[in-house]
Amino acid sequence: MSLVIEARALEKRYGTRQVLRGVDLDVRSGEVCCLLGPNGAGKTTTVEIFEGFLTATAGTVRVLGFDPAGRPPALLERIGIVLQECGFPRHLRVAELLSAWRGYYPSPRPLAELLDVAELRDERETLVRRLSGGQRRRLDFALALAGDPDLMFLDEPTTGFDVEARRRCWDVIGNLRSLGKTILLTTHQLDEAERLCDRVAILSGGRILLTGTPPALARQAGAPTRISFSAPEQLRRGEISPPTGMELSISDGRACGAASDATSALRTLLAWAAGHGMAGLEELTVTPPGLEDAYLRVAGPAAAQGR
Amino acid sequence: MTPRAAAHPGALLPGQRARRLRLAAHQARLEQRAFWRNPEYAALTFALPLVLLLVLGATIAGHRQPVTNVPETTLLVPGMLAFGLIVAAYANLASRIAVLRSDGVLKRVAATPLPPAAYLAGQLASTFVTTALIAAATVALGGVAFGAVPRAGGVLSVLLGLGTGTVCLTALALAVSAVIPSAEAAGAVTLASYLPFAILSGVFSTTLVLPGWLSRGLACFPVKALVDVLRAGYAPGPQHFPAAGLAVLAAWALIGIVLARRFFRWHL
Repeated sequence: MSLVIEARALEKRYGTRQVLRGVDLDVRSGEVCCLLGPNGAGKTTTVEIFEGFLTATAGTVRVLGFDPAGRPPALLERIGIVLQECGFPRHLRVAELLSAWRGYYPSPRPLAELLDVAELRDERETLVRRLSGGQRRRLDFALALAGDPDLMFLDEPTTGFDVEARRRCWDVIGNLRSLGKTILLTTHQLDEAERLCDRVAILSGGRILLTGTPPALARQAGAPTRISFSAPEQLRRGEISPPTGMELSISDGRACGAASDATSALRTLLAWAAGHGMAGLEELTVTPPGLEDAYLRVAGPAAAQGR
Repeated sequence: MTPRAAAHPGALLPGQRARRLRLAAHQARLEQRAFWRNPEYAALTFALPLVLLLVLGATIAGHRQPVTNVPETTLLVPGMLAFGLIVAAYANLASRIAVLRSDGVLKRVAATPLPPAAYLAGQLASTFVTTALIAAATVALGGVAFGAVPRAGGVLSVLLGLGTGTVCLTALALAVSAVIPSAEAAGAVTLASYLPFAILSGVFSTTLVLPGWLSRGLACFPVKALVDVLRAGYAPGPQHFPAAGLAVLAAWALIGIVLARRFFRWHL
């Protein structure tokens, strides 16, 4: 699969402050890749290097085959950028602004389609300054899509929005994905990464700690599978001891344990239950490790604080 | 890319030049539309010099200069003409660019393949239109309300003053916008940068008398030079072509362009 972004050992220093300490990242054609990390991890710096707004202190980067540092027009024609916080010319109407933006690109997408994708059909003639925050964000998406780019950057696309506005933004990002756009998205929100992204790269302290699909990340991070069941009476009263080699905590009537090898843990557990004359374990639940487990495990205290 | 363009990477093909002009013209139309959609702002931009002209003019109507016997309103009109230019071509442009930068609009534009020159050309063209409209309104009001019109041979001086002055002030506006730290500071910085010059250069007063050294010093700055050039076109009497003032304006235009090219930024 061809690489749309290829970054190797990117470093960025501001004076003595080292923001990026060797970022390696591959973004493949057609995927939604997420740069997940706590606030201050270097997500925006990384993306702004890819966009050509910043230059790396060391390392190499190729975006669609170009070095973004000189911001070559041939590259700008093929990327769409949604900046984290970015104002609009406030006294223009939505359609006017989109039309102007379409004029900047050699082969723009049709206006009606932009309005459809961004779900702004009804706001076509609305002045930008009258749009709600969520609508403005969707206008951001539409403007970034105006030139029909191959690659889109979405920097913290839903930060600060209420549930409803967030959901609609997610819908629009889903629309972008179904157009086949390669998307690099930054976020510090786990649910966003889990829901929208094919692959996640966890960035913390200026380094990419792990990259992969959410389940693969959990495996790589060595996050355990969670096993829980309704704690039997005898166990709760301390009349029997938990299975050897397994730590169980009991709260609210449920016994919970964690295991890196779920199969053998279950075997042990079921043998233990049978040995104590139980017919089975009630409400037995096995939860594979998710992105959250992986994230908290590798990004550690910084991640927990950023949430 | 064609071989010719490859041979001269900096050179524009005729098609590209036409496209840039088209984009700049479109940008100028958008800016004009946005300007007029903000009625309070547009009204203030126009009202400030026009109302001042009427009010100040009313207080000195009938007065004449002691030696030359020139009606003072005839000297006030070019002063207000200069003021209109300063507001539209300098203060408004500098603060607008600073606000666009601080809001991230310039960065958003920089993220597109729109040639930066085309965007700026559009902004400047829109500024020129507004400036020309204010100048025309001021000249017309001066004529109608006070019978003050350029003297027979002075029209060229007035036109040259307006043209050079506008170019000079817009270039300085772009340069100054670079040092305005935030949108909140935009109004204060631009006001502080021109008001002392405007007052001391006699924009609002036809009877201001300054020590010779201060007057000579101020003549090296664009506001006083602009006022002098425009007054030379209005004041009846011995013909004199305001070459010195025009030269000062042209020099400041160059300085402004150099500074703007050096310091203009698209984002914070």
